[in-house]
Amino acid sequence: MSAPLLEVKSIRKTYPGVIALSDVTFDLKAGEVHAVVGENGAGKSTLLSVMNGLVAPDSGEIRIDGQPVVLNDPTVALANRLALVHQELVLCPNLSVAENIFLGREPAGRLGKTRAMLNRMAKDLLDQIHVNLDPSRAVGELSLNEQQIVEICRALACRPRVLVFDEPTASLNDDQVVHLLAVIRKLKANGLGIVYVSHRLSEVMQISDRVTVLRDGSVVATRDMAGLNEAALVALMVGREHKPGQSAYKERRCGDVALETKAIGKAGVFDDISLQVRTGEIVGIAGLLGCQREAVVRAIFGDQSIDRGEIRVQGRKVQLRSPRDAIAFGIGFMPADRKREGLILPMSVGDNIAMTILRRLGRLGFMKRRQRNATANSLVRTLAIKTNGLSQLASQLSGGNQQKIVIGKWIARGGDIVIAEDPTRGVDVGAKFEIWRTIQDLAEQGKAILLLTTELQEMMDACDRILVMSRGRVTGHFHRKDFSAEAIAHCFVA
Amino acid sequence: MTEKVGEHVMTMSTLETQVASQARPPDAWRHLSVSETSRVAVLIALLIAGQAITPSFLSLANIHVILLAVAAIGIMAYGMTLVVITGEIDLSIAGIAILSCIAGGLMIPTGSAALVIGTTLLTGLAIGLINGILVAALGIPSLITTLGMLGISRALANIFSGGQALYPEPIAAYLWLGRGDLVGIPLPVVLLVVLGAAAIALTKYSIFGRALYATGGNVKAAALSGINVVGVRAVVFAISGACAALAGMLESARLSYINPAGFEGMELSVLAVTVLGGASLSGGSGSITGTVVAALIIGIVNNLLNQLGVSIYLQQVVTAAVILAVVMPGMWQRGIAK
Ligand SMILES: Nc1ncnc2c1ncn2[C@@H]1O[C@H](COP(=O)(O)OP(=O)(O)OP(=O)(O)O)[C@@H](O)[C@H]1O
Ligand SMILES: [Mg+2]
Repeated sequence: MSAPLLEVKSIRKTYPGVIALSDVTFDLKAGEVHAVVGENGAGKSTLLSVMNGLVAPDSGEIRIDGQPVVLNDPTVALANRLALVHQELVLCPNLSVAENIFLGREPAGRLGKTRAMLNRMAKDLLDQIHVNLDPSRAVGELSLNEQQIVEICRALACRPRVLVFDEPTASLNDDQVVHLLAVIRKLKANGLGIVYVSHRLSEVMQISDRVTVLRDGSVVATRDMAGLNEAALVALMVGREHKPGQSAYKERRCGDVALETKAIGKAGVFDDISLQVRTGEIVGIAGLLGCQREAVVRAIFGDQSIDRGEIRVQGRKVQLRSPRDAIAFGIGFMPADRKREGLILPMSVGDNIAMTILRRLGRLGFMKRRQRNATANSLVRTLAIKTNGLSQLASQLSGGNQQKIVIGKWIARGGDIVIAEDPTRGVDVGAKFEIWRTIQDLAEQGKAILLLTTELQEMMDACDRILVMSRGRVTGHFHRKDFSAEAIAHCFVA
Repeated sequence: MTEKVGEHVMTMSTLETQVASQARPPDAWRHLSVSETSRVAVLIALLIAGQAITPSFLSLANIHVILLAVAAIGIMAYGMTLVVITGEIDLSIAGIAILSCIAGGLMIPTGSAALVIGTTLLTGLAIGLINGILVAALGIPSLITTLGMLGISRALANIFSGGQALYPEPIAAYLWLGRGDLVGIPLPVVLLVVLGAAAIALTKYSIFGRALYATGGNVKAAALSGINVVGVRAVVFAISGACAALAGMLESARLSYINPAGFEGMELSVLAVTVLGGASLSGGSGSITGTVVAALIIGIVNNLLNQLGVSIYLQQVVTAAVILAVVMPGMWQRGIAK
């Protein structure tokens, strides 16, 4: 029997105050999908980074085809045809989609010709995963979802033998997930080895042959996927019996209209969007890539301008020239893109949570430390954020824990209207349930909530009403009793 | 010019993203900064070496000499540090210093100390605020704005003064600023210490300080959190302008001579101190304490070289070498230099 494609032996990696990986052993055969699952902060991304040479382990060994290798640099990993799709997107905003995909591997040739060729090659790749995206667009202007697709194409473009995915579907829509999984199956049939990390367990169950469960930096189990059900998997992850979270949804009484838009529009982006969210109500906006729902919520938050229509808050017509205006009217916005929009990565956990309530924490301009720490600590506790302390830098937290801070800072603010964009992006099963419950609680406290998610099922679980958008217009409107995935999906393309 | 700068920015960011695409922690390059430990270590080494070379090195008199020599540069560096923390740069400080001093100097015939000093400081504040508005509200890159402002204010200083130096002799209070003392401590040193303490309080303990680092760390996320990022940047430029005017005034008072061609190249020395102090030019990091230590390092090195009678040119070489010696360990530690 030939040696496994990739072997990782007794890897140990510590950060000051945390053992991110302790004695982790893992192997990957050709033609298999090997999933790695675990709670937020379990060490998944660290393990993947070690495999890819981004992070040097304290001790341990990596073998490729049975040969020990020293991956002290991602270029070495690439030379061994090992590619990683990052959890945190690392793209060049000023370059085009095609240039990003082939960065560092540009075919030689005359400039103009090369560009056309790059675009064509990128188009082929995008077609493979059934995505309609213009390869000449600058990455800086893409949505999170589109960037994720570019990131995936970039890994595919280097014709790897080992492909490592760190939460590739965290910001993909349901239909895109289906396409990606199909591509992965095809790659697997071609004999690639694939490492797959995701918090969407149903996906993991569908696609993987084996699964390794990490908990607090150690391997709890490596099992064949066949014969394992979701409950058993979750039990391994959290280390105790996990009661299947029944839907957090609670019947609520809704009050007056808190937020209303009347036929708002922005030339070339969206038009004629009218919606109402009442106090205590959770309203979702569903839609596919390019439906512009992200732009609509940003307009409501004052981050983008509108040229038509009006926005009313608590019945009053308002002019929102900046997010500051919107915040003054009691609107909060939890963006999905934690790295670009949600967090100040070089600042501490405590500072990030305090960011929305600086005014309140000031006395004569000085920070009331004790009050800040009390507020931040209580949120760290409620949201179960895994951190060394309030002074740990946000950049050092795992992805899911960063996401929780984005939620936390707006809970700290406590405005009457909350816009939540993918609040559970990259969050583990247990915490996901907690966040959904928190959002239900907010509604119960009388807040009006506008919700965007990539998973339709999550939205149907949480919302009282759902609006559907397609190409910048509202194409459907459903009350909870009429929710049906087919009916809603039908409006996606209307 | 504009194109050249654009090109430069372009290559900087491609470099940045190339590093990022090899994806070391993508922030490694952005947070290229001088490590605290190596800076303090160098300072201590210099103190020990200084005492070994000249026995009078740590005498009160010599300490005053050292501090007096760095007072102006240090005060300017406080303002520069705030600007750099927000991710901007202020190259106009030497111009602001000279134009403010000339503007104040034109008030000398009135005989009013308040008018002379007030005009000087307000001019600095006002030019700084104009910088801030151009950068923050109109979105003109600070490199270009302040480079332009440097040229304009130098030219205006020459026009207003007719190219002639002004003499603040008649204004006793003015001279006192540069030459007087408070309980035996030279006044510029008192100001250096007091303003340093104020700047530390501002950056470390105030809510403005949090907004400052947030604006530099991630301006988009800061704005989405409700931080007034335009206001923050406008304010730091105004502070930098006022610091420049004050520093210029201290120097002019010390020399009792307002020179319309003075402070040549001062912005680069101040920038060197700021970077040596640990502020990263891409924003979000840096501290006043670091800047203070850096100013002391530069002051001590120059003082020692003076005492050893080293030529001014060799002094510049040594100063540059010291800066490298402090910067390199931090870079190795971050695995940037290979
Ligand atoms: N640069 C760092 N400095 C300090 N601690 C770190 C650093 N990077 C990661 N950690 C810590 O290592 C642990 C593992 O993090 P890792 O990112 O591997 O988690 P993960 O399993 O990928 O979680 P998630 O599902 O949230 O993405 C976490 O506790 C995290 O705080
Ligand atoms: Mg992770």
